[in-house]
Amino acid sequence: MSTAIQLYRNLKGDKAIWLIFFVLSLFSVLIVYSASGSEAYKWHGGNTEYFLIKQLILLILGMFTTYVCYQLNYIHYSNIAPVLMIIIVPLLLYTGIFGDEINDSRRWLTIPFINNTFQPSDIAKVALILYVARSLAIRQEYIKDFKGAFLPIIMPVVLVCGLIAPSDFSTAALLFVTCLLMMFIGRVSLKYVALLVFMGLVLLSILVMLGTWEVTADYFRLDTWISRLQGNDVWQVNQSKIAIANGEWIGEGPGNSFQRNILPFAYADFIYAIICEEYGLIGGVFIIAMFLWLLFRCINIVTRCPKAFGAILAMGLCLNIVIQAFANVAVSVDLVPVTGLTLPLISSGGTSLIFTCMSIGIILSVSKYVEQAELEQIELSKIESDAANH
Amino acid sequence: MAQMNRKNELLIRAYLVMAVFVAVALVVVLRLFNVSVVEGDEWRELGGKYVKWQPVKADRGNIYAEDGSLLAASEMIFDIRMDPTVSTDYSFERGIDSLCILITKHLNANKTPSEWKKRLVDARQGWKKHKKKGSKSIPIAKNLTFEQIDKARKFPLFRKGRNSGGIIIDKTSRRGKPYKEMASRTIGVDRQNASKIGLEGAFDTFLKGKEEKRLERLVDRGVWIPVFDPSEFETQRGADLYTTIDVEVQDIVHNELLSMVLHQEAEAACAVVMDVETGGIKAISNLSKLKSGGYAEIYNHAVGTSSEPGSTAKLFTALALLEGSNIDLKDRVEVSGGRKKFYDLWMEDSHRHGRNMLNFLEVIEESSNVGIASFALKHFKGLEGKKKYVSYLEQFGLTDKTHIEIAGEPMPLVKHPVKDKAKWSGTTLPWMAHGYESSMTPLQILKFYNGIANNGRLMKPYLVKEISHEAEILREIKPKVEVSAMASKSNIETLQYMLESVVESGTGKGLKSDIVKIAGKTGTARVNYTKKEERKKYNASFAGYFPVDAPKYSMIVMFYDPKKGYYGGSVAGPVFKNIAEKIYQVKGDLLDPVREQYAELQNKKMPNKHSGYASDYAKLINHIDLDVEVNSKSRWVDIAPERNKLTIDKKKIKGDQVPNVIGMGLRDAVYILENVGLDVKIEGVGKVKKQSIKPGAKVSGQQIEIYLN
Repeated sequence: MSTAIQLYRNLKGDKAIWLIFFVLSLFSVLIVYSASGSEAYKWHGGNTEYFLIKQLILLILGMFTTYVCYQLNYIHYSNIAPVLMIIIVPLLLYTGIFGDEINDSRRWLTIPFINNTFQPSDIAKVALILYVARSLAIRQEYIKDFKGAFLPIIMPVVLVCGLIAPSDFSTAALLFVTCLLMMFIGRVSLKYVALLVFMGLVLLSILVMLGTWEVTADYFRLDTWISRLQGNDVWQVNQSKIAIANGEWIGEGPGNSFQRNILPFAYADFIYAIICEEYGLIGGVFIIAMFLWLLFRCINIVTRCPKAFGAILAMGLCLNIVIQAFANVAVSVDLVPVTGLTLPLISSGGTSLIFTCMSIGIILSVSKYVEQAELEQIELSKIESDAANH
Repeated sequence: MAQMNRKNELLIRAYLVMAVFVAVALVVVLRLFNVSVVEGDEWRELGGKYVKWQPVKADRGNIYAEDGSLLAASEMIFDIRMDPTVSTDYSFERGIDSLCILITKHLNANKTPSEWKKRLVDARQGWKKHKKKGSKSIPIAKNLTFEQIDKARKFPLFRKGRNSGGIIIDKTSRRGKPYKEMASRTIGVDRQNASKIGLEGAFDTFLKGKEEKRLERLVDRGVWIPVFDPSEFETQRGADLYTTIDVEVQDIVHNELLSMVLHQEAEAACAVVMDVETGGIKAISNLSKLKSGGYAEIYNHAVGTSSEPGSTAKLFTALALLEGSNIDLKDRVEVSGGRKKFYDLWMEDSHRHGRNMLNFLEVIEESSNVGIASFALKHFKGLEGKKKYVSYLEQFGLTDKTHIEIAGEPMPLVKHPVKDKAKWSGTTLPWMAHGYESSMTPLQILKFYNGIANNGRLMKPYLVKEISHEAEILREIKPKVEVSAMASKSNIETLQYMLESVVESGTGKGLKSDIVKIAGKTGTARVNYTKKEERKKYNASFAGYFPVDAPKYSMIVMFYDPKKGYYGGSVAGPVFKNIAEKIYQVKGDLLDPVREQYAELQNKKMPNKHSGYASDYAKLINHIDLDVEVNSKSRWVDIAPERNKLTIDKKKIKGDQVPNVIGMGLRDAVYILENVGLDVKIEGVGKVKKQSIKPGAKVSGQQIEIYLN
């Protein structure tokens, strides 16, 4: 334990973000183990350890990723961004056409040799946020310009979101909103932001139209969406509410969820309901507080960050995580229709966890250099004041 | 300064975003509070009403005959219901027409497509308008096979699954007996609300598997559907029973017994064939007269009906005499024309022989009641003598149950001169000596005769030789020797000679066969001798074994109250003979003791190339006396003929490669293929002739077809 504390002391960057990261990771192991109980029994002959071990391995991989990303000076991400974009666009195209179909949706790619599926949209999220942050940062001088700033920023956003949307509309919409907020924070003219909101609505209607057109209907999985909007997921949502109600104030206790047997994808989509059932209202509020605290810390980075790129980057990555978390929670408490989005860091979702950890690592890298810059500033002013005194 | 303004603008916007998120968080928390606390009670109550745990029976194990033929099996049957309310308007309208056409074509032709459509559309619209007018559970089709279900799952709407397509599949199982009435009482019945009988009852704990619970949810008043797809729900299947029943023998026994029982209009009849060496029951038939006039397996007489054995019991006395005295086959006894008074009771021989003196052998040959009774009285004098007589019966295994696996066997009734002193009178010994004042089941009598055929080694009768679950053998039942020597070797030989003589020149003359030499004893027992005023009723039986030179099967045939004759020799005897002849013709190769013939045959034609489970081949190879070169002790082997010998090598099976199953039997092939993760589709019967994926190809869960001939 003392070595763990020692290690924690030696970590640079925002200590609070580190703490939030560790606490949520720990929570994920507990809750995935519990929630997957019924599913695990169904598919692995009662081998509940299977999910626990899988989640632990993913977490270790994730933490390693976080550490690597945190070590790298965030300035370099600015240079990596365009390269990633060049890779990601063909990859998304390829997945859309040749990818593996899981749950009626073509969003998976099998990595050769290790035989594991992953979603290219997970890399695309990080890549696009890096790229938008870079674009916003280098155009700060003339950011209100339409041709010089707005267009070059928005084109890749539309392209990437458009490629993700057919197979995974929720993720595309979420990414689009994230980029919109980044542009808003990144001082893009309110006019254009409003235009963007309008464009988003247009895009949505086009998709619905394409979906209704028989030729493309199956490709756009419109049935799933119509069924969501018509409220045929009511049963699921009711089960989720029952889970929350079962938890009352302090919950049924770890591993005592009953609704995990009933809720489909209890370990992913409806994990928040299971948290509430096992840890009660208190546990539920705690999770929301954690994500909100993460956002607070990132705003704090923004206030202290001397460079626009770092500020917007940290904000973008953080927003993406927090929006997804809130979307997931909102589904469980029946504020929005079922989206199929997981609770970042906590849901067992395979490779997406790695990319969430990557985001956290980059945020921590920014905060580390913010601290360093501040230290240098203090040293500098010290030297200056010393010089003045002499 | 511009730098400063920019920073401020950025910060203001960031704070604005933050404010939005704080607001959203507040809404979520309020909502959470609302669900958990304000509406909490309602939701919690709803939770209890929505779902329940429902026990699900596992698939029941199968019962097999010795050669692997199915005697009783559970087949999965499926019912389909549809909830027409769950799909979206869009997909419902798009799919309903073709769905209805497919339902009529493949699942249920009772309604035309348009009738189906009306039914489903009405239920859907009714539900949407007012719940009571519609329904969430429309029965589509019942008793479907797995293949039909597989097809139905690909229909429009249905392919969207239960939650958005509305297909509800219920799985049940039906117990089937491919051989219908044959041995059905012994195989038994798996009843829901009454005690299970036969092997089904005796091995229920193994057969029934593990019961699981599954969650079901309420969708409509009284309509519960499983939360998860029931075809994906796994229960641990019950174990399989492998019995000693030989389908060919059983078939012969059943048909012969049936034709005679019909002719005789007997109340009932039963016949049991036992493997001499092991005591394994090869066939067991029980036919009882139904009120409607026909005959059916409704009671297991062979196991459960105890009656006075009559003349078949004379052999018990004969063996006791041989063991307990210096009696000789030529010793003579006064029988005074077959009618003699013992104490205050007259005893009569049922067969008219008209002789005054008979020797010991003749007494058995002619089945003289007076003769055997007189010998018994002469040699078992006084209390000590009587005790000695009964102790011999005990030594021959006649005073205990056979402990056959199935329920309902009564204890044999054998009086003891001391323990049953009150019931023992002066007439007890002479009457016991010829099969009265005692009671036994046919199987208990047969056990004794089997012991004689087996040269004095008394075997425990049994029906089940193996219980296995998938490939794992849970229990293997080996033949059990109850008494290794019932009597001295020479006395057993004498008894065998007597039994041969019965058929050669005694009451069993009718059983003399050109095809197979039989030894045995007739039994004719008067049933209702205490009721003088009633029509005389008899039980006619014959117990024995064949072929005489190297006994392979022992058998008892018993008729209860036959109407067209009553002698064991004329009622049960012909059935015994017909069965023995037919078995001999079918199993001639097994019965023939001359092994040389095989060797000769094998030299002419070596077996073809095979692959399979090693221990199966071990059994086979032991049987055929061949030179065998064993190069591997692996579980799966390739067998190849080489001029004059067979070689056995390790079968090459690699985990990630499609194995070669050509030449294998179905059971082995499916086991191996499924073990490496292939989905097996079978065509034809016999041995594997062709496989759709080449051996050595990479396994990735694909489907493989195997063709058998």
